Amino acid sequence: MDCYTANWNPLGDSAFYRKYELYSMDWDLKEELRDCLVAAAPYGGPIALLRNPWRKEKPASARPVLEIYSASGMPLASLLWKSGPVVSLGWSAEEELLCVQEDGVVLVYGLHGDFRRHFSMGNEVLQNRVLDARIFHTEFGSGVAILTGAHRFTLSANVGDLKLRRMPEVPGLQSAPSCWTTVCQDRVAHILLAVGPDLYLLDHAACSAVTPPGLAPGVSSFLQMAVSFTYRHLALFTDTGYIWMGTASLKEKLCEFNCNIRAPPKQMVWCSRPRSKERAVVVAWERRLMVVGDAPESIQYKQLTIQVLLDRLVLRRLYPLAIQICEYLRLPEVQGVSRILAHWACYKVQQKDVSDEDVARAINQKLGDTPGVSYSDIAARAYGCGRTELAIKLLEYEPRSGEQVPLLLKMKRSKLALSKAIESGDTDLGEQGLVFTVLLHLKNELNRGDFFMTLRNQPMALSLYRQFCKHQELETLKDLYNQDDNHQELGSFHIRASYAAEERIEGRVAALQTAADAFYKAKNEFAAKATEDQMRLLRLQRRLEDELGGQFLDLSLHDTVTTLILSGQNKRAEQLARDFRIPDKRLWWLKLTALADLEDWEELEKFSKSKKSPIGYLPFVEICMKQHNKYEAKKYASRVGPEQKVKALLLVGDVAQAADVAIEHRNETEMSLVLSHCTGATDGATADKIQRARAQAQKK
Amino acid sequence: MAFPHRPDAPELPDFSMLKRLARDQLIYLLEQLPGKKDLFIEADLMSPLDRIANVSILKQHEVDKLYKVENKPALSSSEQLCFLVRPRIKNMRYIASLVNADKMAGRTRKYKVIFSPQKFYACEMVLEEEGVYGDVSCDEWAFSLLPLDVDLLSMELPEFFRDYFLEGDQRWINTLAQALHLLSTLYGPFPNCYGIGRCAKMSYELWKRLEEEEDGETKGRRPEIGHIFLLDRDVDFVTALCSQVVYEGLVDDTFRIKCGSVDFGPEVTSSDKSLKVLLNAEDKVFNEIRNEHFSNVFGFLSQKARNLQAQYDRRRGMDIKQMKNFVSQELKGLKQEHRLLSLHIGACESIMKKKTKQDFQELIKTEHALLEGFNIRESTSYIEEHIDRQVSPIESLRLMCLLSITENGLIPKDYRSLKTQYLQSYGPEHLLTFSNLRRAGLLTEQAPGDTLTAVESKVSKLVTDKAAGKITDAFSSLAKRSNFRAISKKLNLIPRVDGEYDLKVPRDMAYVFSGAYVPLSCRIIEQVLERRGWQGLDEVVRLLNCSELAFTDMTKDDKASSESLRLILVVFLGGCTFSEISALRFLGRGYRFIFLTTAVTNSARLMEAMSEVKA
Repeated sequence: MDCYTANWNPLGDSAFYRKYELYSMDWDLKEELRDCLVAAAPYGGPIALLRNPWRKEKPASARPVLEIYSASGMPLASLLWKSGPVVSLGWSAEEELLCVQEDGVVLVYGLHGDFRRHFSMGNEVLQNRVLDARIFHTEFGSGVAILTGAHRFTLSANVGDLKLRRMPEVPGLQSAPSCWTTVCQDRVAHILLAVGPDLYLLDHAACSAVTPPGLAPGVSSFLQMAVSFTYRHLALFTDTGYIWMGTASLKEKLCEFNCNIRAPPKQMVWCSRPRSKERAVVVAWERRLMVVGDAPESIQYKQLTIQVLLDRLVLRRLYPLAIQICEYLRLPEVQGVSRILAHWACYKVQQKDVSDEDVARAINQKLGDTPGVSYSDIAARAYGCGRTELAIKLLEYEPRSGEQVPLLLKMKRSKLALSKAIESGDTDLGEQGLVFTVLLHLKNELNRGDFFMTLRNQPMALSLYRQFCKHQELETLKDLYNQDDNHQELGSFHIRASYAAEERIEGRVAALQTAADAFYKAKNEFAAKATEDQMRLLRLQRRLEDELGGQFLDLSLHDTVTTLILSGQNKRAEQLARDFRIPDKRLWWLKLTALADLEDWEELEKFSKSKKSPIGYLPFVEICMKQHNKYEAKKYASRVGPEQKVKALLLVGDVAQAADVAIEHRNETEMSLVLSHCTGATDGATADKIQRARAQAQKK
Repeated sequence: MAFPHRPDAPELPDFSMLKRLARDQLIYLLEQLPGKKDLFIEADLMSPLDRIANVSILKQHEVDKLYKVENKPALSSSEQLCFLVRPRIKNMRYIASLVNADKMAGRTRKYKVIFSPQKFYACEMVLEEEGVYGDVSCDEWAFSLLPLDVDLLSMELPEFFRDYFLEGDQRWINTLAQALHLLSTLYGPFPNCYGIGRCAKMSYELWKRLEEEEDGETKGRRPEIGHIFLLDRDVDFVTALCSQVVYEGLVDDTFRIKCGSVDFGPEVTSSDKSLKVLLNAEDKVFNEIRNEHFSNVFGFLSQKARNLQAQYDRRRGMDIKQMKNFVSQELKGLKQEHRLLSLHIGACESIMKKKTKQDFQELIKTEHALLEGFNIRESTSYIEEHIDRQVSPIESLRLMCLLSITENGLIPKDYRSLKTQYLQSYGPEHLLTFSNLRRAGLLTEQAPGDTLTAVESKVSKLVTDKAAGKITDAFSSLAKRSNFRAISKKLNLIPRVDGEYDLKVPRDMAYVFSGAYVPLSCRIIEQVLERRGWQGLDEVVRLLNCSELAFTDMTKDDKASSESLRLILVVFLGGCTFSEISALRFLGRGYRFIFLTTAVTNSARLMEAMSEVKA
């Protein structure tokens, strides 16, 4: 049995430890690790090495090489470093390598040494150079903290969404702090630094001095500090060889230990096994390693989720394996296979040696219409690699045409974007906004002529824009019609202006003239003539107002003549009727109504006798009865032609005579009409008469 | 009366849920602006809002004063202003001017704009251009379906008609698709879908896409409504242009029903006050006469009055106990019925008076002649006289349009002379009205080739329908034509009259137009439902210029109960008339129809939408 425990060594009174090799590194290092900047990604991720030629003691020689290995030492990438001096390396949570240069520029590389992007930590950093830098991880992502040559700190808590925060000054700080670290409290990143015997906590607003509880006296300087991965715990190593371990909030001490070694350690880190309740700090010197542990307390470690695992596989381009895992775990397509295929496609578009056609085809073959795959995202990646044509080809596969639009706009394919925005069919809030956005792009991008020309080919966009202009940009609307040679609409536009926009009579007439010209050009002679008539009428109405007073402007022709008759201007009325060729029938209706309104029965009779009425005499009967003048009505009833005689007689209440005429006409309809008017006792005889006539007619 | 539904007629779904949803959402939006606020409401939204949330609900959520949105400076002294508006540019300018006036005066308040049923990008753009975008917060009240009655949902968007059919503006299509989507999430998927018209097709496609995007939400739900039928208003303008003669339609034509209620003036109430009356199935008297031809209504009402009197008369000879019973249980109901009865009798009298004055019989005769296509010259003269006498600008326009559509456009001479006469009577600005009507295809001139219409119609009598179809084809390449005459023949829209049409016992849907004409829209729906699709209707579809625009989409759904398969939702894009609703209610045949319309319309509303009026 002792073979199981033989390699276990006691640690303190109650714990044991053992050392064994998990695996051996495959790498074949040419440089000493101590001469390199080294960064190992969390969760067994890759390791980056950069030989550091910028150390002061060694003169700069050849360009250094940046090497990336897997956790087991398999080479993943190797590239010549052509950029500036690097101060610090670190991996982001997304396994991107962040290389912090002395000038504050951070270069970002992928797992395979592919350059992604770069960003700067700001001007202050550029001016004072980077003295020291740390890459740290929080729940929001990975951050960068910089200590500048002016002993000021600048940090960004998330390099994915870069917001630079310059931390406040530490009072009296003349030289670099002896040690510092980032801590994360209440979801905000802080800096903890040691200056001589003092500790300071920097947040974005203030610098405050802090004291660890239960710290042994006699400390004149802190040599090393370490926070745990979860930011819960802090370890401090002092110049007295004393280690303080407690919570990072500095509210509680967990334990302390005096190791009696006063030399500054090279490294100090928290370590712990997953799910273990024991925590320990490992302190390393040149030739010595010490593990300091404490009493159990519960710590929860975040597990590597399956999504993160898949991400890692994808980053390592192990697509088939990732897909197999998805299928094995029966992950929903959108979260699993689709996502991995999309990643694969984004990788595929970067293969510059393959033609656009082949890449597009290969991607479409593999992806088809897998749900959850966004061709527009893949196309955006292609565009990002400078492959515009490929991007356009890929966009063709995007089934939702609305999704194609933003990228097309970015690629300055606005016209194509417009047709796609329209193709997306819906002019709803989002999509109508889409068409509108494209329109505004186009408006700014093209000159007016080309813009209008483009609109002309897109009726839906045109009508949308026209609607907008109608309310908001009337002049543009006019230009639109002009550009289109749409004289009909242009004419309508000026007609509307003649009563909506213009007030002075001259302006109105001028607007009408422009309208008439446009109508002629549109070969709409009817509208042109009508408009000219209106110009004449307006001028005339103006004159009438001047000469007669009263309101004439804006009356219709009919109402103008009526108004003249009502104010006794018969001569002028007739002149107007002649000038504007008012048809006889209308004139008779008009005069009849006006004279009856005036109750000028004498004039009405004169008028009725002026010539044979083109509308017959029944209207005279009707209008007199409407004014309750039976006496006058009867005069006209006798002149009504035979066809309407019965109606006229009934109107004036002469049922008996109406019956006679109907019987004489032998007209069944007329007889029923009269019968329906036979009410009351007085008409009894008449009714009988009709019934007899009917019976007689039937006998025949 | 009022064609009792067959005993097995399916139950209607409960649409009051839509009201509750709208109310809850509105309250949520009001709560987003905590504290006291003044509410500015657009006039068009007042009645719909009233059906959803009354003043006391608004007050409960800290609405202090209510104002109408009108072009006047605001007198409100509140620190918070909330605007409830339709997404119209003129509203944006009003709000912007208000905010800017406050700025000039150095005053800061909170402003919130609630767009109903949705906001449009153009509106936000105007706010931005006027420099107030940052000062106001925008929200949407997705209230797009108002249940006006147990079987009638209205979007209350009368501008849909002009925006789409005249201006070609498609933005409301999304609103519609969203509304349909809401219905399918609440009442399950529709196993059978039919439609005709460009707008119908676009809305349908967009709706389906919304369903796909929110994949699965309606899946597995039991369909409550078995069929949906979408129909564009421009497929059938004729029906909407006819004078209405069923009671509800006639009340709408005469008094204008607004958002399900009508204002009866003193001439109806026989008092000195006007009365706002809600017209729906809950009004027992109205419910029995709403679908009746007007000629029956009076008789029915007087019979009802006699019955009522008899019930009152029972009081005589009652002992105390019986009397107590009568007063506590029956009297209230009788009184209510009495009140309603006298209102509707008043309305009838008022309608009769108005109609005799206008010589309604003559008018109806002309309309029937136009529908049947005889005595065209006589009808044209009638219209001319109508114009010359300045009877009514809207009526004259309506008759001109009816003539144009039934005749495939006016002959050039009439087209010119009627327009000239119209301009002389009603003012030159109507030159623009005519331009609108032409664009919408409501009033057109026969193209030179079209003068052959008369010949063509003769030819079609002589040769087989197929050959006539070919001839028509040759012409239709010239212009989009209404082809009403040919459609009418194909679909038997003009019933053969043998003897008097008994309006008391209607034979077919033609009763809604005194037996003279079966509404085209309703006939199409009837035929498609009967055939379960468009098979055999190719020729009709072609004549309607909808060859690519008629669609059927049937999914086999085993979960659909036989009950639900007898419920049909008919969606009218651009408005439907009460006559059409009555006709389909009559059609029944074990089916029961539910109506969804962008707005209830009639001939006057259609014409007003096309008319250019001086501001």
